[in-house]
Order: sequence, then C-alpha cells, then structure tokens
Amino acid sequence: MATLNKQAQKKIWAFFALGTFVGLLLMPLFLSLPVGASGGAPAPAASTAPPAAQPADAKPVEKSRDIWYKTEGPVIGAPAPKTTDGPKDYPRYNFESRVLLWVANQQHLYYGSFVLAVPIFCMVVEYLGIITKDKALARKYDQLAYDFVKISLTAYSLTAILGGILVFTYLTLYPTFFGYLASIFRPVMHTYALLFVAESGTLYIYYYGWDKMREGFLKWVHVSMSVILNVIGTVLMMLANSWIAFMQSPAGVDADGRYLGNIWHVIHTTLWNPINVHRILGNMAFGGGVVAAYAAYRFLTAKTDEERAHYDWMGYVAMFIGVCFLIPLPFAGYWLMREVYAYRQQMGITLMGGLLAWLFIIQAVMIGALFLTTNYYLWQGLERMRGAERYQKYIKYMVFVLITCFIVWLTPHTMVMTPAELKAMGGQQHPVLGNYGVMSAKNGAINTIITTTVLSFIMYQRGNKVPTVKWAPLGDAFLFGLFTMAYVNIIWLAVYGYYIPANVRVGLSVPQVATTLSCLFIGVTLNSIMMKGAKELGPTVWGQISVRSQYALIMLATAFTWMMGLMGYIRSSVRLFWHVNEIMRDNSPWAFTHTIGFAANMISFNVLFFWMTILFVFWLGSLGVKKAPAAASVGQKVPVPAGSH
Amino acid sequence: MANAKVLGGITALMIAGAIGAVLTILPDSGASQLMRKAFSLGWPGGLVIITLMLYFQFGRTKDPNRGQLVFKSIVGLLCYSMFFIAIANYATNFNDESFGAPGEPRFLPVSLIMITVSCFTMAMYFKGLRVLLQIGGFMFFVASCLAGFGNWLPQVKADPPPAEEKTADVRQMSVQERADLGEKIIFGAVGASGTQGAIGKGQCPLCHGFQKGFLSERAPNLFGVPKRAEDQMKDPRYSQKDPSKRDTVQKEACPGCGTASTPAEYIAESHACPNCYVVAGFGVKGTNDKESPMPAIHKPPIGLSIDELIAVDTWLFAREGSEPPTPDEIEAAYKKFIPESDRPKPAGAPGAAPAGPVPGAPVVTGDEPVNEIFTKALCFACHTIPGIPGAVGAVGPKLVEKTNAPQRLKDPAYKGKATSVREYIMESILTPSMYVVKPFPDNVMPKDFGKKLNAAAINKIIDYLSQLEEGKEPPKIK
Amino acid sequence: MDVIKQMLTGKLVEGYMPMQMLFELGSFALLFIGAFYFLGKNGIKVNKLAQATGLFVFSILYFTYRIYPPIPFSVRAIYATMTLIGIFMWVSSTEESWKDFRKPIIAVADANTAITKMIRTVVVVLLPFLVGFMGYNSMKPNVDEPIELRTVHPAPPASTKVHGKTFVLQTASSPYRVDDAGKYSDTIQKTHIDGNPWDEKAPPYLQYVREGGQIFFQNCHFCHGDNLNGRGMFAFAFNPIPANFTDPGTIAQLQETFVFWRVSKGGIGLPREGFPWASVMPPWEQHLTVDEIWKVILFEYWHTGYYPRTWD
Repeated sequence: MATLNKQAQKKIWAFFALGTFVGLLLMPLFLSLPVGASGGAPAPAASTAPPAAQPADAKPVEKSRDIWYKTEGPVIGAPAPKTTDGPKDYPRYNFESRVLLWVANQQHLYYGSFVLAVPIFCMVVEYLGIITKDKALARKYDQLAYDFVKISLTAYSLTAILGGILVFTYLTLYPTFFGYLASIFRPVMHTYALLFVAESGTLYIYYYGWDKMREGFLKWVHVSMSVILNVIGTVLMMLANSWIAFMQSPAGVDADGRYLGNIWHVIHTTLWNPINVHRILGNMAFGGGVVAAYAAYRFLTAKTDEERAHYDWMGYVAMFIGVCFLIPLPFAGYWLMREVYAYRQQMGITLMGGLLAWLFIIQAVMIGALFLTTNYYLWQGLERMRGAERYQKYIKYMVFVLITCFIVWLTPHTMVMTPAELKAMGGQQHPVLGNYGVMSAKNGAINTIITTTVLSFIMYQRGNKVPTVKWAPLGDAFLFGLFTMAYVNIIWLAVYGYYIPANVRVGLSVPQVATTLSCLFIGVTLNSIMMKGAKELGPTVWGQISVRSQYALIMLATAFTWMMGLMGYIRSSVRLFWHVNEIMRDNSPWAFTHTIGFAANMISFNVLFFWMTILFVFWLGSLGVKKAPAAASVGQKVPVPAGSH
Repeated sequence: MANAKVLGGITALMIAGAIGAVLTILPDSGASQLMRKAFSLGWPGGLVIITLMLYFQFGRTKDPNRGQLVFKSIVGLLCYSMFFIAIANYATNFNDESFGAPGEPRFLPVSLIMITVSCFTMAMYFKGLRVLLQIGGFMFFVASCLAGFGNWLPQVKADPPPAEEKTADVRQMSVQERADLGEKIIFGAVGASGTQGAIGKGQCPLCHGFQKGFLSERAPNLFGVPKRAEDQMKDPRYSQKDPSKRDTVQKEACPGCGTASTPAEYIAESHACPNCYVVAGFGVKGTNDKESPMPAIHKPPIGLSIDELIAVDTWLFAREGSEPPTPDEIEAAYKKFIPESDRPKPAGAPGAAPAGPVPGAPVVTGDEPVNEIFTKALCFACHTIPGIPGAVGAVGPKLVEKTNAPQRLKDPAYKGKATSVREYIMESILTPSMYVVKPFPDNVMPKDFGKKLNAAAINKIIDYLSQLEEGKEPPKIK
Repeated sequence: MDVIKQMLTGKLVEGYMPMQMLFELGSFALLFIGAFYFLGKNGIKVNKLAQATGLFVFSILYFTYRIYPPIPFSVRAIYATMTLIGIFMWVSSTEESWKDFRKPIIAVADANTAITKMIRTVVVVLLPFLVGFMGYNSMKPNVDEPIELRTVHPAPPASTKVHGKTFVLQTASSPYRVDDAGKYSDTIQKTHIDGNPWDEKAPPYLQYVREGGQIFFQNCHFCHGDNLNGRGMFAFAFNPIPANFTDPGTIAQLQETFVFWRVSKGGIGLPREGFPWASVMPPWEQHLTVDEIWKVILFEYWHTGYYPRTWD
C-alpha cells in the first residue's frame, strides 16, 4: 500500500512538473497571440494612434472585409503584391525555380514528419515500459524507445539544416512572395522559431538524460518530457501548416490581400484543422514506415540470432503502428476533401474529376499496394510461429480475393486505348469492364480488400494458438458468420448500387464502411479475447522470418514515402496558378501545372533522395553502436501490440 | 571462378566494343550523345576506378586476391558507367517543355531501372555493402515502377489562364464576349441584367430601366431601344434634317457634328450629347424637356472609354437578339459625335494624362457656385435638393439637413462619429455607409466623393445643405 | 434459371456480365487448385514454377479471348501485372513452395546436367538478342495512330449560355422533371418509370417524356440508336462512335445539367482535357430550343431507367 502511495505521489509530481514545463515552453506562443490578435506587434499601435491625435482631417482608419470570415477589420497590411516575371520578383538560376523549391520543401517535410512522428512512438513505448510489470520486458521497451530517439536525433539536425535551405530557397527565388507571407505571418514565424529552440532543448535533455533519469520519480519526469516534446512538436507543425493552409484557403485578409489585424483568422483558415489532423496521422504512418525500414535494414545486416530477433520484433511493432494510423487516414482525407469542396467547388472538381484526377488513380494503386504488402507481411509472419502451418493453405484463396478486388479497383473509368482498339471495342465504354470503372464497384472492392486484411490479421493472431475458452466453437462460428455476412453484404451493396439513383448510391458507402469497421473492431476484439490464455502449439521464434518479409517492410516504407510526396503534390498543385489562392497570382514562367509523368519523376527523385540520405543516417547509426541490443534470446516471450501473444 | 572471370571479361569487351561501334558509326545519334554526356559527367570517377584496376593488376603482383580485385574493379567500372548513363539520361530528359531544352521525361523511369540493375549487380560482388545496395536497388525498383506508371498515364499539362489584369481588345472579342463585357460595365457582372439594383461602372441602372416593366422614372426604359431609335429619329423634335431647329439647350454634339442616321449613331449621340434630344417627359424638371439630367458618358465622372462604349452598345443590341453593328461601325458613330479633343484616351496611352482628368482627380475646382457643384458632382440625379433646379431625385433621401441631421444624430442606429450638423453632412459625403437613412439601400451612393471633391467644394456643399430646413425657403445661391 | 443456363453454355449474359466474369475467374481458380491438389494426391507433383506459368498463361488467354469486346492493351497490361504480383505472393507465401518455385531456375543457372547446360547456353545466347529486340522495338518509329487521351466527361464550366440565357450548372434544374403540381421533383421519374407516355391522361411528366421521345426520334436516334445504346444506323461511320446511354458509365454518372451542357454545345470546343474534339456531336442549340433539349434529356433518363446524378 505504501509503495502504491509513493507511486501515486510520484505521478502527481510528474504531472505537476509536466504542467510547469508545458506552461513555460508555450508561454511565447500565448504571449504573441494576443499581441497579434490586437493588430500584430507594435506597428499597428503606431498606426492607430495618429487618428486620435488629429481626428478632424486625417483619413479615418480604413476598414475592409475579411475574405473568408466576412468580418470587418482595420486595414493594416499592404495588399498582395502583383508580381511580374523578371529578376525583381522571380530571380532565378538557369533552372526551374519551382522545382528547386519543390525538392527543398519535400526533403524538409520528410525529415520534419519523421522527426515529429518518432517521439510519439517513443512516448508510447517508453510509457509501456514503465507500466509493464515484467522487468525484462520493460527493459526491452525502454531500449526500443531509446533506439527510436537515437535515429531521430541525427534526422533532427538534418531537419533544421533542410529548413534553413528551404527558407533561403524561398528568399532567393521567390523574394516578393515570401516577403508578403512573412509580412502577414510575422508573429507566427517568430513564435515558430522560438518554439524550435524549445523543441531542441527538450529533445537534447530527453536524449542525453535517458540514463540519468532511469529510475523512479526521475523516470516519470523523463516520460513527461516526451509528452512536452510532442506537444511542442505538434504546435510547431500546426503553425507551419497555417502557412500552407493560408496559401490554399486564405482568410484574415481582404480581397486585395491586406492583413486585417486578426492573426487568429489568418492561422485558423478553413482548411487548417483538416490539414492538421491529416498530417498528424500521416506523419505517424510515415514514421512507422521509416522505423520499419530501419528495422528491416538492421535485420538484414544482423550477424547474430539475437539481433535478428530484436529487429524482427521492432519491424513488426513499427509496421503495426504504421498500419494502425493508415486505417483512419482515409477518413481524415475525406474530411479534408469535404472542406475543400465546401471552400471552393472548383477546387474539389479539379482534384477529383478534372486536371488532377489521374493523380488519384496513382493514389489508388498505392493504397492497393499498401494493403497487399501488409497482407503479405502478415502471411510471412506465420513462418515464425511453429504450428501456424495449418493456416498457410488459406493464403492462396486470400491472394485470389485480393487480386480480383485489386483488378476491379484498378480498372480505369476512362481507358487508355488506340483508336483501333476503340473501334474494336465499339465505344468508350466496355460492357463488362465499364461496370468496374464506377464508384459502386470500387467501394465494394476496397472494402473487400480491407476486410480480407482484417481476416489476415486475425489469422496471424491465431497463428500458433488454439483457443481454450469454453465457448470457443461458438466464437469461431460467430467469427465465421461475421466475415461471411460482411463479404455478402459488401458485394450485395456494390451490385445493388447500380440499380439506384446516384444520390442514394453515395449513401451506400456508409453501410459498407460500417461493415468493414465492425469486422475490424468486433472481429479483432473477439479474437483477442478468445486467444487469452490459449494453448500454444509451438513457440514464436522471432527472427525466423524470410528475407522477403523484410523487403515487404521496405516496400511499405517506400510506398508510404511516395504516397506522401504524391498527396503533398496534389494538395499543393490544386492552387494551380496562384501563390495564395485568388489573392496573389503566380506570374512566374512556372505558373503552369506539370504533367503527371513529370510529377511522378520528381516525386521519385525526392523519395530516392530522402532514402539515400536516411540510409546514410542509418549506416551512421550502426557505426556508433557495437554493443548488442537488449538480450532477446530466441523463443523468449516478447510483447506484441494487440495483445494476442 | 575462372569461368565467371572469362565470361565477365568477354561481356566487358563486348559492351566496350558495342559502345565504340555506336560512337564511331553513329556519332550523332541520341545514344552517342548520351554516352558522351555520361562521359563528360563521370570521367573523373571512372579514371580513379581504372587507376585502381591497373594498380591491382600491376602493383600488387604478390597479392593472392589480385585476380578478384581486378575483376571487381571491372564490375565496378561497368556499374559506374551504367550509373552515369542513367544520370545523363535523367539530365537530358529532365525538362519537358518548361525551361531550357525540351526533353522527354517519359524516359526517366528507364534511368531508375538502370540504377536498379547496377545496384543489384554490384550487390552480387561487393559483400560489405551488399544489404545497402540491395535495399537501395529495391527502392529504385519500386520508385521506377511508380514513376513508370505515372508516365504511362495520360499526360496533361495545364497552362495558367491569361492574366486577368490585361484588358482585352474589344475588337478581338466575339460578339458574345463583347456583349458580356458591356453587361458587366452596366450592371457590374455578367448575367446581372435581370437583377434589380445591380449596378456597374457605367452607373446606367441608377436612372434607366432595362427590362420590360422595370421601374424607370428618371430616364427612359431602354428595353427595345435599338428598334425604337428608328422612330425617335423621325420625331419632329429630333429634327433629323436640321439640328439647328431643335429646341434643346444644346443643338448639336459638336459644331457641325450633325444628327444620327442609324440606331447605332442615335445611341452614340445620346451618350455623347444627352441634351441634343430629350425624350418627352424626361428632361430636367422645369426646362420643358429642353435639358437632360443625364451626364455625357464619355466625360468624367463616368468617363467610359470608346472601347467600353462599344461593349455597352453591343450588349444593347445583342440582348434584343438583333445583330449588333461591328465595333468599327460603333466607333465611327462615336467619332462622329465626339470631337478629337474630347475623346477619352485609352489608359496608358501617351498623352492621356494631360488631355482628360486623371481618374480620381477632383471634378470641381471649388470656385464654382454651389448649384454648379451639385450638378457636376451629379448629386441632383439621386437627391432632391430644394433650391437647386433639376435636383428632384428620389434615389436618395431629400437633403434638408437642418431638419434631418439632428434627428439622425439622435437615432440609436447611428454609429458614426459626427456630433454636429456639419460633421454629419461631411461624414455622409465621405463615408456614405456610416449611416444609411431608411428605407434607402446601402452602397448606392458612390464612396469616392472624397476624391472627386476638394475641401472648398465640400465646404460649400455643407454650407448650403446645413441651411436647408423642411418647409422653409432655400437660401439664395451666391 | 435461364440466365444460369446461358452462363453455363459459355455465353456472356447481358446485364450479368461483371459478376459473371468474377464468378468465372473464381471457378477457374478453384479448378486450378483442385486439379493440382488431385495430381499431388496421386503422386504427380507439379513444380510450382510450372503451375505459376500455367496460371499466368491461362489468365492472359482468358483476358484476351474470353472477354468480348476485346479489352484494350493498357487494361490488359494492368491485369497481367496484377496477376503476376498475385502469383508471386502465392508461390512465395511459404518457404517450402518458394524453394520449389526457385528450384528449376537455380538449376538452370547452376546445375551441371546436359539439359540445364543446354538451356543455359540458349538463354545466354538469346538474352542479348532479347534485350536488343526490346530496345529496337521501343525505339523504332511508330506508325500506329496516336493514342487519344480524350477525357469523355471533362470538367464542366460553372455556367453555360444557351440561347442568350445563362444556366449555372450547379443550380439549374430541368423545368420538366416536375410532379403533377409543376414543382421540381427528384422522385417523379421513379414514380412513373413504368408509366405509359402515350396515355392521353398521363401526368405532365410523362407527357414531357413523350415529347422528348418524339424529339429524340426526329433528331438523335440516327446515331444514338433506337435503344439509346449508341448503335444507330450512322453510328459506325463515326470515330469515336456515339455514346451509349444504356451504359452505366454515361448519363447515369452525370448530372442532368451536365448532359444539358453537352447536348447544347456538342463536341466542339470542349475543355482542354477533352482534346482532340473528335466527336461529331453537333451543338444542338443551333437546332433545338432550350425546352426541347431539356425534354429530350428527360426522355433519355426515363427510357434507360437511369437517374441523373444529383448534387450531394
């Protein structure tokens, strides 16, 4: 009892310390916000003073209307500059400035999201380590968290360097535009810089203090610091997001782009929050991918079985986290897209049906590829369990279902064909495949793919186990019924969708998604309960897994990275020829939108550049440690998310 | 191993031979150019590898691994060459039609494939870096698949629309576009002609009705005007034969300008010289239709350019469904009634500034008597001002400010800063939206009187208006 | 029953084809699995590489020859790639089958029997030629017609002007899709989908449908066909051939105002992604009044039984 009290006391102290830290570190932000809200730093104060002094014939403070919030406010900023092509507004090398900026931006973003995502894993894993009763397990978790933060530390300095390069690229290649943005976001940019200092400080204390703050109360302080680290990181990201959200859906300025004195309006544009949520989830999925790739790299270079076991486990955990955040990502994307449509219908149509629609086809390919890879990894995972062989014979059927759905999913609505083929086919629409090209079929296909992935996971969970609970046959029957019903329901709704008006059809996706999600939640939960205390047919041998599975992880990571580049490009290019949508026009020679092929090449370049550098970072990391990771002998019990083991 | 060495040697020789053959036989082909570019980019590294190879072959005669080292150098050289050919391909084909030399970006994924192959080849022979090379190669492979797919899809490049600041030449437009521009000038937006209260730069709907049945008290409803013009020109009061017989204050648009003979000319004349012919019942009150309340449209304050007038007239015709005259015909009509010196210059043309008043410059000097200020500033068109002839407008409130202003200052809805009658009048002129008298709509009164009237003129207006009292005689005009 | 009988005789039954194709694929997959299982039971072990090759070849044949009309190469390429990926996932799913799959390949590269040596030599000799041929094939000047990347349904403008009147595509609605009281109704088509437009006492909606039908058969059916399936008597004189309204990918996917825009403006002057404007669809605003266009659209939806897409 006394120890428990002591524990509680420690917790209270830790939370207190945490609160103080957060307060202190966020103070600059709170201090700058009211100042900004009342009119942005001292300058406006000076400009509002004269009318009081000479009210008679001085021009009264000009008021103007907010372009989005429709509120009135005093005109403070200068209107958005009208640029002309030339060295004044668009100084350049003998090269496309936009491409240089693209590379600088994307690299900074990759490193930035990695650096933001990893501390979140760290926090979770370290916390798991603290609450775990088992000492060996706790040490293993702790070591894992330490490994994570170690990777992110090198990446952190690279992020800062790339951020510097990005700012210089902006200043040298787009001085007028950046000047305008800076004039509006002045207080935000300063806050951002100050927060960066806070982030660095916290990160260094967190990393270097790891061994010093290993025990008892200090450990709680340490884990609290990871919370602070993440809070600062998230705020940093949100501030940076406000700039891009402003460029896409400006608010807080009038139709001429003049700043109206309310900094909150400028930050809180209509797309800001959707982008924030989408980016946080995306960062996590991406971070999971990168860590999984790191684990795969270490696995492949491992010399001993212990190392292999450790990194196999690490890869599995990272993959698991990544996929967990991948699943809500489409919903966040849906929200973002809804807001885009609500903001400007034109923008939405350009995205989904117009100029950029083909990019979404690439995205569709990638989503399919991610699910296929995840399934493949899970199937390969059966290899490490003795006794899981009995499930391997089902793989071929699942492959068939997945590939068939993928074929439907990928059948394009507008087929690319030569005129001869067009004639042979007798029209643009194919009587058989044409039916796969429409929404109804796609919804059916993707929901089947996800449900099958869930099934794969349940199969993996069961792996080497036989449930011993009394109601096991009932549970099995229920699971069987659940999935059968799910498949029937999804496919039936997909077919039914052809026979009803479009507005009703749109509503059909709700029951379909609900079916998929209930399979995910009910199925996995029920299965986990059944597997509690189940009889094991054989041990799980971490590290005994094929090389192909590790390449699947690398594939997953590369695909995440590519997809991130692609979606970022889509989001950015939907502004078309505007620097700031409908306020500041891009008058440089590069206001056009590139072809998809060019974009794909650029994204590939960015992805490969990122991976070349990060492989280098990994390699550096492997130079540093010669000592073996915390002992994880073959066959030892290791923690696994979702609690099936 | 010996087998492999021989095989490798033969392959290397074959490749070298093929390259040499291509370079000598087809020196100008794309392949040769590519190889030359690759060579110019990568020769230093290649030199280092060759030096190493020679060193292994001749410098380390005692090393038992000599053969293997030499073999590895050859493999390295091959992969290195492939790598740089890939880079050269990337560099030549990087740009599409954007900037610099055009290339073919669709070939870029080929580069990625080449790098993949060279990565995996090297991974076979260089044990130390095997995993890194394999992972790298695999990533190149994944990226090449995705990039290849992206390049295989239909390619559309979207140019930005022409900058909207550029005013298009009305003569280059289609009839529809020209009419749309006219509609925009009159009503402020395309498609706004059916909306009551829509008003554009030309300010026409302030007085004129445009749709059948629309209220049009101050000026004729312009529905069907191109057709009606024929009849108007036959009106004896129009006196088409001899303008000097007209009973109006101004007989001709300019001395010797004559009268209109076509509907286009009639409309042009009405715009340029409203006084020349006043439709019965629409003259300034009390002048017996001898004088028109309408300002000359090509002069300030409205000051439409001839191009804009062409657009406006085109709309007048086009919306009736009749074939509008060509821009040249309309322009000729205006040139007939507007003398050279009076013609508004297109903005930016040399000499524009001295000839006409700069937009936004004061229209009055402040030296005129107050009734002239009211006329020039067009106040009369909307307001009823006792004591000012013709000022019987009903668009805005009656300006008896000695009576009105104190009441309005007391109105709880009043949010302005004025405390006295004079301040209230000044505020109402400079910032009309500060307080809008019910039931009149907001944003009807122009907000730029602060620019059009100087301090002296405003003072005179205030002096006059502040003396006006409901039910009392207006003061004498000095 | 009849449908199933037709399917069993190997006919692609109209209206059931998409599901039929998936069903056939599933049956063939099961057949494959069953056949090899049976052979394995009887002691004839078929190597995984052979199985995989067989499956792949079969799928290519199926997609090329089974599905009619022929699928464009681009789509077949996607399908073949997917099949390859699936086959790879299948053969490499367990270590055992992966080893079995690789055995013949490794044998060709490594083993020292007479057959493998011969295969090896042939492969080594043929490989450069194959690469050379592929290079030649991709580089040689192409005399085929260029691929047209026409987007059939390009992004519509915000508004269109027909007969001097501006229609905002997002807000305009058909003046004839009305209930008996004359009010716009989304559901009226569903109510009268089986109605008789020739009935003298038919409600206004059906009267308009009849008028639309008359306009259709006076103007449109020469190309778009009696059954609205794009197979009119002139249809095959054109390239591309006219749109098939009975296909779920045409009017069923579009808003009524979109169709209005397409009918009144025709094939010429489409937005950029619709380039080249190869369509011979005339701008019907030059021949029909606004009312006639709306009526004919009303008829097309009523006759095909599709519902126009609505703004959600």
